[in-house]
Amino acid sequence: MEKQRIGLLGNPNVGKSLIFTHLTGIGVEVSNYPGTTVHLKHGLCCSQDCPFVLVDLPGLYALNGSTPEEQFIREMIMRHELDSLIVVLDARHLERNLYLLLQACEYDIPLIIVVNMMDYAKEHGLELDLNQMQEMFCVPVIGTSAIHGTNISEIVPAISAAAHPRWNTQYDAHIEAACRSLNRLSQISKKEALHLLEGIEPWPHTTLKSKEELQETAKIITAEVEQEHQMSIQQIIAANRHYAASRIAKKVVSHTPSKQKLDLDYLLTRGFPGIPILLLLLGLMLSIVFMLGSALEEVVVELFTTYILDPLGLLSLSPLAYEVLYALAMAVMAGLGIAFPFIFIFYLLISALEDSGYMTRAAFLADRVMHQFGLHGQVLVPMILGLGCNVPAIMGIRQLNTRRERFIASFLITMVPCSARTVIIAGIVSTYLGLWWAFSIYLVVGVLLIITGIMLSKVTPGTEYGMVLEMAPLRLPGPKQVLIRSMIHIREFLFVAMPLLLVSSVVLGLLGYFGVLSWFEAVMAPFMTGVLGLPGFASTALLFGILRKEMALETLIVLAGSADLSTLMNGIQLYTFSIVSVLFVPCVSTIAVLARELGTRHAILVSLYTVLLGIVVGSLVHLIMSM
Amino acid sequence: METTPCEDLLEWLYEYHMTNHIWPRWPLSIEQRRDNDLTQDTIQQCITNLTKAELLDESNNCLALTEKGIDAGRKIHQKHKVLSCFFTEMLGMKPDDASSQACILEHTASDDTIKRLDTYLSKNLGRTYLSSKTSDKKDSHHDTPPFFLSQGKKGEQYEIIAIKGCNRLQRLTDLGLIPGAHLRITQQLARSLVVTVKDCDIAISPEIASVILVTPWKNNA
Ligand SMILES: Nc1nc2c(ncn2[C@@H]2O[C@H](COP(=O)(O)OP(=O)(O)OP(=O)(O)O)[C@@H](O)[C@H]2O)c(=O)[nH]1
Ligand SMILES: [Mg+2]
Repeated sequence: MEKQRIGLLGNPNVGKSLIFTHLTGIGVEVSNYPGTTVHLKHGLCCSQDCPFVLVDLPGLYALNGSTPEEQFIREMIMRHELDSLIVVLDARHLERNLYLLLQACEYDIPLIIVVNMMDYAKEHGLELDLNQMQEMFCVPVIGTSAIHGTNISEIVPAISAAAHPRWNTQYDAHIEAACRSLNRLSQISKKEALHLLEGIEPWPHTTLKSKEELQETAKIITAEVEQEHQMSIQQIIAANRHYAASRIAKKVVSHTPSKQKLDLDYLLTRGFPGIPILLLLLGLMLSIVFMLGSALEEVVVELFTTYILDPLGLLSLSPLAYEVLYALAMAVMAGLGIAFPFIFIFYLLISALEDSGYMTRAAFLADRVMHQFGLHGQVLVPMILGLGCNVPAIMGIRQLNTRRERFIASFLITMVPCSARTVIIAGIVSTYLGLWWAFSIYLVVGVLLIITGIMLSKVTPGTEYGMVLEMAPLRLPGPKQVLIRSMIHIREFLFVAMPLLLVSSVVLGLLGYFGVLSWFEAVMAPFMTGVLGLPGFASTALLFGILRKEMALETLIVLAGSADLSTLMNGIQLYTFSIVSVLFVPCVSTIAVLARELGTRHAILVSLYTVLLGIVVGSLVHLIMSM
Repeated sequence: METTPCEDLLEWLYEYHMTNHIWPRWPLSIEQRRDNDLTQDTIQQCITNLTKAELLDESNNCLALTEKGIDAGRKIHQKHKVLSCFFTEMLGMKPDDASSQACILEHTASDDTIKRLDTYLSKNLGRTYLSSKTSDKKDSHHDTPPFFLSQGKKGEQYEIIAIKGCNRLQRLTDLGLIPGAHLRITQQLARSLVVTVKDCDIAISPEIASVILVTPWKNNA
């Protein structure tokens, strides 16, 4: 028997992914900003006898829109690819959330209602009468608090009781008449008629010819109704649904005013002190990564040298075995000892920042500046995420509305120094040259970002749309959430990046042994030395940096055969090397995701641009510093 | 619904052909002519116009619709059929039917405001939708002419009167920013705003704020 498929539908940031994690045990991204989930996630979930597949859907505000997510999920529901829905509502914003539920009620699909964030609502003095709601809709209604796991266990048993909600939204007289006329003329149900009026593609079971005829009929009525109301029919229908939602909310929610909370939010979003705080936070975050990371690094490297590298030298091995083993040991040290501490601390901090809900405030603060680049504040969220890793950040730009915005944003995000590049900056510049030099790299990248942004906004055709962003709730980051979220990224580092590093360093060792490396380096040497003033072996490191950015550093260490890079290159060379590898070519995963989201040509364009940028800036740095 | 004599003639020709399976002969005899209001002159004029527009073909004293004409006639016929059904349905609804209250926009603006607004909007903004649901209640707060949200002040409450180019801004509709809704500006930085609507905070860019037409609103409750 086919397993049942059950979808988690709800507004962004209501806790769908957290519920998914609870029910399936699969760790997915959970974070405090709207639009965390961008891809469908499937997970097996066991009820008493029959297991079913739970699908975590991206957050939606409505089902009748034309954004790709809305279209996609709407079609999934209409084609019966989902057997039932768990509609997740946010208890704090019940009225706004009901708008989506009312739309879901108009599809031919059984559902249950989960009202999440009950703890938060209680804290804010909201009382919800869920029994009343259950009577209204005649489907199971469960109040949960996913963050504490309260009542989550009731969801699975309730799914078998999922039903078609017995709710009928009252529409304006014109709309009702329009639906009935459509019904009389073309024998379609009220739900289908509403769809038609809203301008949504008719239901899949209608044939092509009748589809056109239906649309034509609907258009005639629409024109008449719009004439009458002087507003678009979508607006009328939306207004009716909002009105119905507010009436339900009034019946269900009773508000007892709680004590006035300290208005931190207000301070954070003011020009002063908001903007200084934003800059301070980013600066502080990087400083902590640099300082704490290097302290950890020192300890690990010392341990490694005394207990592994030194004993290895004492063994009497054949040259080939020694070469390979040595490269392997160096790789483990570079990966676990050097890259890992930085990445770990970085992800802890950025997860804390995300979980606090601060990201949306930052977006608001940055709105004006971003307008200079033909973008808007919303883009800042993926850009800050890009500090962690460019890949999810680029997926996040789907949220942007126009192609122009996506185009510019993809360039800018690719240039944002991700955690892997931070490893290079921290491991080389901050360690050997000092903290301020490390910050200067961010400054250079920042200036380049601004120049690129302004330039692109001048040449990119298309229109702007502007930001309409719901603010995530502000709160203290929960240590558990932060840890879980950083573990997801760390796991990726350990299980994807580390094996890659080990394999490639063995390859590197072999290539070195058979002399291929020296050949490659000799070929590249005139260019590297002439233009960038770098030693020939740096070209190998840069090349491996394409696989994963931090591998530029790790490869350098493997090639040097020592964790102390200052013995190999002078300060200027170290600085040039870092800035080139930070700018030059995104890693393969980023290129792949760029190609998927925006097309191969675009990915090539971005890569070429960054290569050029890296070489030009690198040679400039070399020129200026060696004067 | 208003129709022109030409449309009428087109529709009549279409219907005549569909029921009798022959094309009428010109000049149209009285018994053929459904509409006695039209003078021979008007009909003559219409036929000339329709022929010019390549909808009608007049040869051998026979009036026949062209392919294009049949299509246009069918459309008009369809439109009339649909609309008469729609109006019958409208009439069939009792005015005190629950659905007549189902509208959030009950008293968005007084007649007067609507008129002022309409001229203002059509002069300045092009295609705009505004609510024309009128009420007998004279709302004093509509005395000030509406302005754009971007000119609003921090901390003040407003009622949305209209949204320009509403279809492009679906997200606003989804979040409850529709004509008739009430909002408060909670934060203002440069010209970007945070507005509170339905207890949710929403950050919006200046260019979005400048398509939302509002009027001050006092919460009397
Ligand atoms: N206080 C409280 N917070 C919760 C609860 N459920 C989830 N959260 C928090 O709400 C935030 C959003 O959770 P997610 O699971 O990422 O939300 P989502 O619905 O998947 O969001 P999108 O993927 O953006 O659509 C996270 O920071 C959670 O920790 C709850 O019951 N109470
Ligand atoms: Mg999610």
